[in-house]
Order: sequence, then C-alpha cells, then structure tokens
Amino acid sequence: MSSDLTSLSDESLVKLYRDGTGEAFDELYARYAVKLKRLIYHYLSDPEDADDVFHEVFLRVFRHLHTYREDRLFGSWIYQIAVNCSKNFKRKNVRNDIIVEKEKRFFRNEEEKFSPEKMMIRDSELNEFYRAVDELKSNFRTVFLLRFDQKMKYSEISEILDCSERTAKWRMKKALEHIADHLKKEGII
Amino acid sequence: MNNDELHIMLETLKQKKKFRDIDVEKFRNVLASARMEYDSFSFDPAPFLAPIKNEGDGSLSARPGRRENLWGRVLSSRIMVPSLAAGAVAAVIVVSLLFLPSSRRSVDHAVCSFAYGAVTLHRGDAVLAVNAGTELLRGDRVVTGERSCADVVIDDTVKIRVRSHTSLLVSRILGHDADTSMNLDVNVDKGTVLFSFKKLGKGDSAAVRTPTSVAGVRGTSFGVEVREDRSVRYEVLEGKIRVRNHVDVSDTAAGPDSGDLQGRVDRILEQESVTVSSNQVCTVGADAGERLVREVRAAVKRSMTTGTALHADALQGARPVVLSAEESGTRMLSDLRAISTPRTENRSAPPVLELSIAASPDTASIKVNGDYRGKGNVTVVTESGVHTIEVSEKGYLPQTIQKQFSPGENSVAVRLERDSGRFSIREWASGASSSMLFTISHRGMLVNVTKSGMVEAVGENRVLWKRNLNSHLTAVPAWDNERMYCATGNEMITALSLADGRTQWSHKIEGILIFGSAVELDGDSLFAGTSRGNVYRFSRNGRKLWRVSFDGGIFSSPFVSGDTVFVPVQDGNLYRVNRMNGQVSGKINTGKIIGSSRIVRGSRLYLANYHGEVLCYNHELDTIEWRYRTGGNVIIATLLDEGSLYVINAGGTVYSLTLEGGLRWRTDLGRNVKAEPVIHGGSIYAVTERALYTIDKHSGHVTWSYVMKNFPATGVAVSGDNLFIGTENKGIIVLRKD
Repeated sequence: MSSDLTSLSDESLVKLYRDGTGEAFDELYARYAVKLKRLIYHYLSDPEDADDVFHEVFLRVFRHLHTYREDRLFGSWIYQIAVNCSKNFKRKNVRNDIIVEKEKRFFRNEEEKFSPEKMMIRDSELNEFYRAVDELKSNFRTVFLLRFDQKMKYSEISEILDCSERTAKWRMKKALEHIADHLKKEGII
Repeated sequence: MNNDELHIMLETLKQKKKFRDIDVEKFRNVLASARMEYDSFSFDPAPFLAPIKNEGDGSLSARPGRRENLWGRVLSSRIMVPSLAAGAVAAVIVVSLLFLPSSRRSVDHAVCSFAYGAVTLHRGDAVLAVNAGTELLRGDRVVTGERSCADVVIDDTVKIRVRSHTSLLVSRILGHDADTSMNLDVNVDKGTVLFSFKKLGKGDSAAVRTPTSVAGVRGTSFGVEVREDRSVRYEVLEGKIRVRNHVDVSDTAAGPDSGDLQGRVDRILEQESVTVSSNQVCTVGADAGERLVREVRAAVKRSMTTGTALHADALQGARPVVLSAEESGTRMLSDLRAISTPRTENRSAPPVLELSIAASPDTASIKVNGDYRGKGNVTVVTESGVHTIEVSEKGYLPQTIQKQFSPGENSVAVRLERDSGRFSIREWASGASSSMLFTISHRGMLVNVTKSGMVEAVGENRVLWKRNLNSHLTAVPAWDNERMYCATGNEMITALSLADGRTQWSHKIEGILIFGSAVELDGDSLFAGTSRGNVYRFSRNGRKLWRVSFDGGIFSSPFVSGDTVFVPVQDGNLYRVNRMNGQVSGKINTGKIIGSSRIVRGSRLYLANYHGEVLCYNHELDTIEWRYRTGGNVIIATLLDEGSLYVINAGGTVYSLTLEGGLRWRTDLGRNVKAEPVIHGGSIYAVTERALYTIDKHSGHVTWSYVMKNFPATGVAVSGDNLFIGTENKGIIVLRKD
C-alpha cells in the first residue's frame, strides 16, 4: 500500500485519508516533515523551540485535515500553518541574545567538527548573517527563508503568505538589502 | 533562489549608492556558506509521528525530547495528592503506568504467587505468614527476611518481585471498573523490588514511593533498590522512567498550607527530574539527598518566616544521575528479564535455588547473570538452571563461570589470581576517543574526556575510575586535592571525587562555560561565568553563595584578586565584583576577552583580548600600565612562567613578553593553535591542526615537531615520560617527551 501512496499527489492523499486510509497521513508526513522542520528551525534558531513548534504544526494538520480545501495546493496550506505557528511562537517568546542561541545550537550539534575557538573565528561572519536574518521583520524573514533556503517559487510563496508575487519579490529584495547593510556595518563585506 | 537571481539581485544592490563599496564576492561567499549550513540540516522525523497521531487522537503521549511533556504533567498532578505526603517521613517514588483500554477490569487486590523463606504480611497489628495464594489488600505490608523472596501479581497485568531484606507497603490497588482508570501505589522503604507491567495504555497509573526520590515510569519493566543509607538505584529493562528527588516537608511546614507547600516543593523538584530509558541506571545519592533535605527545609522555613514565595533557585541542583547499564553495572536486570518473560511451562512457581558463591579475595565483586549481587560470600535466591557468575577485583584476573545449578549443586567457590601488569597505557590509549585530555599532577592522574561526557581517570598503571556526565564538557575542569569541578553542555556544574569519580554535588546554572571560560578556584570558593552572562560563586562543598547577571555573555573565566572578582564580559568591559556579596562595584574597558585567560600577579592583571592586545592592568591604581599588540586575535590561554608571558594568537604566532611589556622573542608556527599550550620543564608544547611543536621557552626555537596522521581533538597532556594528544575517534596519540 505504502509504495502505491508515494506516486499519489498530496491532494489525493488527503482525500484518501479522509476516506479512512490512515497510511495516507504517514505519507504526507514523510513528504513534509523534514522540509517543515528545517523551515521552523531556521526561523526560530533554537532546536528545542523548533521541536515544540514542529510538533504543534503536525498536530494541527492532523486535527484539521478535514478543513483543508482542495481548491488550493496542500503544500501551501501546510507551509502556511508552519509559518503561522512559527510566527506566533516567536511573538510569544522574544529572545534577544542571538549569539547565545547560535552557540547553543552549535553545542547541541553532536556532529560538530571544529573546536569552539575555531568556530568563533570561522563563523563570526555567519553569526552576523544569522543576526541579520533574525533582525528581519517577520514577513521579510519568512520570504527570505522560503526562497533562499526552501527554494520555493514566488508564486508558491505568495500563496502561503497571501500576498502578490510582486510583494514577495520586493520583500526578498529588501531582505537581502538588510542583510547586506548589516554585514557592511560589521565590516564583513 | 538560483545563481542567476542572486547575481541580478547583487548587481542591483551594487548600483545603490549605499552599497557601491561593498565586496560583492565576499557577500556571495557568506551567502554560500549560509546555504551550506542550511543544507547540512538533518532531522529524523520518524520518532515524532506516533506521538503526534496519539495526541491528535486525544491520547496521552510524549513526543521525543519534549521539555514539559504530558507525562510530566500527569506525574505532577499525581504527586499533588495530599495523602501521599501525609505524615510520611518515608519519601516517595511515584510511578505512573498506562494501560490499554481493552485490558481494563475490576481489580482491587494483589495475590502472592510465590513465596520463599521468611516472608510476612503486616496487616494492621497482625503479622501473618505469606504463602502462594495469599491475597494482599490496600494497607498491607510485605516484609522479607534473609534469603527470602516473594512474587506478587495483580490480575495478569502486573508482576512484582520482592527480594530479600525488603519492606513493601501496598498503599493502593485500584482496578475500579471498566470506566475508570487503574492505579497502583506502593512504598518501598528498604530493599529491592522489581516490577513488570504486561500492558500499557492511557489514563491508568501506578505509584511507588521510597525515602528520597520520585520516579515516573512509562515503561513496562524496571527495578528499584533502596539501600540502608537511603540512596536509591533504578534500573530500567524496557521503556522509560522519570526520576526526581523527593523531600517531605510536612513536619517543616505544619499548618493549613502545608499541602500547598509540599505541592510546590514537588513541582520545583520535578523540574530537576531525569528520564531513564531502557538499559539505563539512575542513582539518587544519599549525600545529595541529605543535603537536599537540609536545603529544601531551610528554604521552606525561610519562605514561611518571610512570607515570600518559595523560590525555585533554592531547590535546584539535585538532579538524579543517569548512567548506561554498561557503564554502571547492573543489579536487577537479569531478574527483570526473568519475570518479564512469559512462562511457557504450566507451573505456578519456579524451583527455588539458594545459590551460594564464595569468592577469594573476599573483596571481589560477584555478578550473577550480569547483575551485581555483592562481595566475597553471597547467597542468591534464584531458580534452578544455567547461571553465569562473574567474579572480579582490581589487581586480579577476572573469572566467569557458566554452569547448571540445582538444589543438589548450589554452591561454587572462585579464587582469583593476581594480575601483574596487564594494563598497558598504550593499549588503553589506542582504543580511546577524546575531546579533552589533561593531567592532575598531584594525583599522578591522566584524565580523558570523550565527546559524550565520559570521564576516565588513568593512573597507577590502571584505569582508576570512569564516570559518565551524560553531557560534553565545555571547559577544562578545575580541581583541588579532593574534587574535580566540571562544567557541561547541559548547563550543570558537577563536582566529582578524585578518589573514585563519584558525584559529590551538582548545580544547575544558566548558560554554559565556553570559549575559555572555565571554573575558577579561589580559597574556599569556585567561580563560574556563563555564556548567558551569569557569574556564580559556590563553596567547594557545593553551596551556592551568590549569582550576579550581566547583559553580555562571559567567554573567559572570572578571576579573583583579594576581595574582588574580575569578570570579563562580552561588552568589552572588565567588571569588578565584590567577592563576598556579588555586588558590582565598577568596570574598565579592556576590549573583548574571549577564550584567553588572564593572570594575576599582585595588583597587576595580565590580559590578552580578542583583538590581539596584551594588557597589563593595575587594579589598585585602576590604570592600564602597558599594552602590546600582537598580529591577530588571542583566544587561547596566556601563560606565565618564570617572569615571562607566553601569548599565542589565532594565526599561530607565539610571543614571549617580559612582565613590562617588552618582546623577548616571537615564533610563527604558521597554523592555528588548537588548545591551551603546556609548559613543562624548559619547553612549551603547542598543538596545531596537524602537528605538535616543542618550543624552547628561553629562545623561542622549535626544538622538534611531530606531524600527526589524524586530526588532534585536544591539546597536549604531559604525564610521566609521555605526551598524550587525543583524537576524536582514532585513539590517543602517545609520544615520549624526548
């Protein structure tokens, strides 16, 4: 059964699930879990926060799959939930000490290959990049992550964020300008 | 975002006046590095799916790694029941177990399925004999004597084995009816009890209580041992348990609000609980327990006297210790396996065997079927059949015997032979992985720490002890004659005994000690500065004396001169803090000090900052007497030896300076030096990314170097005639000093 499911579209899987095929949800989960976790993780910067939000996102999807309208792309729907959950979480849990969060992320990574000292030097530029991304206003950060990291089309981004493609492109441009401005002020570029 | 789009965007950017002078290539490289890091993201989604679906269905289920999981809430609510604490000086283990709805049935009693030796039942004032078939009711206490044991079953769902010298109180057995939850409460005041739950489901619970701890259990098979000194040990065969300390404050907090206060204490202690999984062992030490009792009662009294809220900080730092069964050894797992395995034979009781083992020397440890059962002479009540007996003692060759035992053949004597020099330091080193390596000279001890936090002390031609801190060390520990003080990635400071590696105390801290911030010892105290800007002062025996917070992170150790603690903060200032009370009294701008250490000599402090400046600051005159600029960032320790300062910058240039700021010599190693160099005899030993350099400390000449095949993960440690350099997974490199 599961091998057959892999060839179906997202929307067909939703229909199957509604008709009582439980494995269809597993297939949807397999398709989106890593992508969404990555988006949430980079949006929030903190692995434990990302775990919480990821769990919340799929819980919502699981509970509200019956409310999904088939006239829109499932991918946009699920991304929209992920973006909204992340934004809400960020709003409720404002943190200022970005560097410390990044350090925590580094130290929680079991695969680290560099000494902390080395990391401090080599990644000081990257830290400033993260700081710049974290400084972006929510809508700009979301567009930047969806485009830069998730490599989504502007048409998809516009549907997720319920804005025009033009607005999405403009936000991307402004996001990049902000990052460049920040890196310039820090003497990196 | 493809390259074309990026190219267009960057070109457009460059046309703006504001960005005309930016380095576009550099910007492109930063973006590419960021993309690489984004792409390195990995995640295994599988463990999250079942909890999502269960919770989505309304079931109780905890997802992996959840910080305040549903289980914790279930446990917290259970331990709030006032009856649990009422009058009981005996503390508590609470176990919540979940049963499948389909298995629900009405059960209100347990039945003894097997009893051997002196097993009695205390019901009110009556003392009754226990035999197979004896029913146990709420309030009954089962007591076993020497060489005795009893098995108790509840329906076909729960099996309990009560070992010898044990006292088990059945506080509650409720099966109710099909619409309500089952739950089980038992107290283990002393001895060993093993539990095996056949089925798990939602909504049902069980509770077990001991003097010094509380455990929540999601698993099906676990054991608990309460020793005479009130220390407690848990072993989990299957599933998970959650363990926390318990302190009964009912006598301290007598009055109408005592239940509330007990609940608050329980909730705060719950925050320090740990999860113990399959094949893991959890210990709650008697010393830590007694200290905790004193601290909690003092905090409760303070709270009641002053009318202020009970503060969480006062009760922290009492986290039970979790080890893998492999590291810790086991005492219960083989029995747990036996009672967890369904019997295929149609018999109600196993043939009993009193297995006697006599070991020589009488200090030798005896294990039966992998479980530790005692030293010297041991008699174990078990079943007839094949058993494996392991006898071991330091300095002797271990022996393992596997044979069939029966009531007719129920004893064995094992005599160990002395082991002369089996331990080989090179053999040990070749199999070790390392992330930190150092020597404790006064003990003649080489200490190796792995990335996962396993601390191993080697000396006297043997491995002296091993201790798993369950989290990587973020800074080289400090040590004195008795203890080693370790800072770990799980935001803990833990003091280990140098004699045997046991935890003497531990405290939760906010933030981690990194980039050269390490525990600093001074007089009767130790100081720690964290990445979250907190500085702590603890007494050496584990009392938290004060904490002060700064706006920036701390990436180099605080240090003490007289009554002042100097704290280098990320904002580039060096703050003065009163040693006694933690009050901040001033600051001086020194530039960011990250990773590098500082040296105190009289009123002069020698510092090297991130920007590459070496400074001499006279704190009595509050002036910087001199500065020396090196060519790059300084992020590793500066050393002082015989009137010379030795500074190494990030580019790998070693500077020898006089204490007046003059340059004696400079040597360029050409590569970044990885860790704090070591001065030993007339040489400085420094490890770069691929090589060890030995530099004459008087002339600065490189006397010899050694290029390594594998990337070093540590600096160099000197012990006896050998130099040790750790690699992450290619063993520890051992070189002769000459």
